[in-house]
Amino acid sequence: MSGTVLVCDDALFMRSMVKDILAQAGFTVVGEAENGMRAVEQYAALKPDLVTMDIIMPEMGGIEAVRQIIEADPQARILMCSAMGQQALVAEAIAAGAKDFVVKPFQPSRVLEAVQRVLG
Amino acid sequence: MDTSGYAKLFLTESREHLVEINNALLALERDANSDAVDELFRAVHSIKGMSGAMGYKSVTELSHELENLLDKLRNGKILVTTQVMDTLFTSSDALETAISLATSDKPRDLIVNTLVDQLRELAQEPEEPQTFTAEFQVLAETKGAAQAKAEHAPRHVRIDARRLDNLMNAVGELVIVRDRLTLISAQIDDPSLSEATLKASQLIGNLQNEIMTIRMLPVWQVFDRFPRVVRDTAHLLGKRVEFIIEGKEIELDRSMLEEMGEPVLHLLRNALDHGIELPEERVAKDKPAVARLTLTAERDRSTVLIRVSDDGRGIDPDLVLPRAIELGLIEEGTTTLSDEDLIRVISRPGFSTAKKITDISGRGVGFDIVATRVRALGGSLEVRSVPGRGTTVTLRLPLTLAISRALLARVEEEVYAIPLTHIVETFSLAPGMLQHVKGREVLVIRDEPVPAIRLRDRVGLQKGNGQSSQVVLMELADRRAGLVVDEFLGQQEIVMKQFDAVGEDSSLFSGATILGDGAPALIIDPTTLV
Repeated sequence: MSGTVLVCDDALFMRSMVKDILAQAGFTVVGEAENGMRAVEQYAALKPDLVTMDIIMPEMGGIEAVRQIIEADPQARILMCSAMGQQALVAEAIAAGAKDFVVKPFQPSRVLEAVQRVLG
Repeated sequence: MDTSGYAKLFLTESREHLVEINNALLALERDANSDAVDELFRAVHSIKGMSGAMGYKSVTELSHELENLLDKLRNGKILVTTQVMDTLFTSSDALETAISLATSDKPRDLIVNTLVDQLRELAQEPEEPQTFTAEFQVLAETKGAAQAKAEHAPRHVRIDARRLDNLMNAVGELVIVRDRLTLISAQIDDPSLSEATLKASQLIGNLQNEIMTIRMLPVWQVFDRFPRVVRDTAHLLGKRVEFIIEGKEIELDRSMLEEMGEPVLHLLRNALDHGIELPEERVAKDKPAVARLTLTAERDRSTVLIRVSDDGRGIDPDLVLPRAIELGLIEEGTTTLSDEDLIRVISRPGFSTAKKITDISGRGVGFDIVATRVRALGGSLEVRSVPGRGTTVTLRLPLTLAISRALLARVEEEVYAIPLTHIVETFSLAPGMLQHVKGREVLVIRDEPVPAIRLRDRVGLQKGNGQSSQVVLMELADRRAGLVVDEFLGQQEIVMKQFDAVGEDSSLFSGATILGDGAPALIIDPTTLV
């Protein structure tokens, strides 16, 4: 697998983990964002093939970020990263234009499957 | 997947979140309608996500239940009661314990069953849903502030603190070599060598400044844990206290920041335990039942002032005086002494260890410990107290422990370094300046007598060819003294090397340094001298 990715999560820990999983699978992580606002900016600047998006973040959450990214680029491919018990929020994110979701804690195989679905 | 590589990162980030949680809990306790619940929710949520990934079961379970409860608080489905607050505080502590157990050398899970049950029970919604009317307004404000904050959010890089320490050490050595190079270059007196030396010396100066700036951290990094300690201590003692922190953004070098936490905590505990009265006692004295305890940080030239101030009972001079005479710290027969003199007495090492005094004076428990610690950091301490009205303790600390500027002074063939922190001015010894008053030698400076200290006598040097001709006026809190030396050799950046105290004499010195010509010099400790 290949392509460019923007990783959005307020926890450096989570970003590192996602980055490692994707990098090992052959992706290039071109940017990181620690909140929704940075994610929107970074997306506009980097135009990555894929965005992984956390839902709960300070300043601006993931769902609002999905709305703004999709508004600017309806073709954007965004994969939501949710925690257990956030079904309602995941549904909202999908309605806003996110393509798919994975649930934390991440299994690398699950993440890569979801990425394939989103890019495919 | 193998998660072992992420354990450190997990610990660093969770600790940050734990601090956020504690602060948000305190904010929530003060104001149930604040946006603290949102902050709590986010912080707990982050810990849940990370611990899930790491496979730390008890941490995940606990944060999951906490998150549920917080979600309901956030949506106004349940109300912030004392019981909820207490459980939240307990859970935050448990979370911290669970995290340290999970990340310890022998990882194990904290047993959280009881707490989890408690959290679940509290999360039960009452029959009638309750609503907050103020909620909309609060949300709108929060959003505006958050947006403003995000626009200015700088980008950060995480660096292992030890690398910064290594870098600082290297620069410290470089600074010494620079001074040595300057000296050699002056001797050789070659124009191109001088120019290159000058350039290099400027660059080293820039480098030093840059690294100093990187190492500066805001005091809130240490202060932020105090509200919780103050709250808990006050609860334990049955006292009511409003704790105010000012000047959180003031910056200090990392080394100093780490060292000053303990003394400050000591002072806060002192104020709570001995200074501040019980609510009944306060009301009886026409004071508000809730006491004020203020912690302030303030920048003053190359030093930082840390002030702990309370409106408690203060120090009673009538109780301290007899004991001071008994211990021989004040001349017998003395009946009146200024408050300042008394305060000077209580902060003297040895005095405060007397338990009797601490009980009646309401001050002094470990006061000498604080004084010794602060002195070791190159700082000074000042106490002001008004009986019945309160006490203020001020710590004056240099910005960094690593490098400081010093004045080099010569006595006979020996060179000593005097830290600039405590020097007020220097001047040449004029005829008639040295006088004898009551058998003691004093310097008359602008009509004011100041105790004179001859460095030659203090360090026990035999009189040689050297001529005492220069004076350094030093000031420590409200004390002054003039140090008489032979000659000044100029200012220099010094890198302090501390040594273990050997015998009594060494207390005159706080450490040693290497001079530009490679020779060692002792660093004078103004706090023992003045």
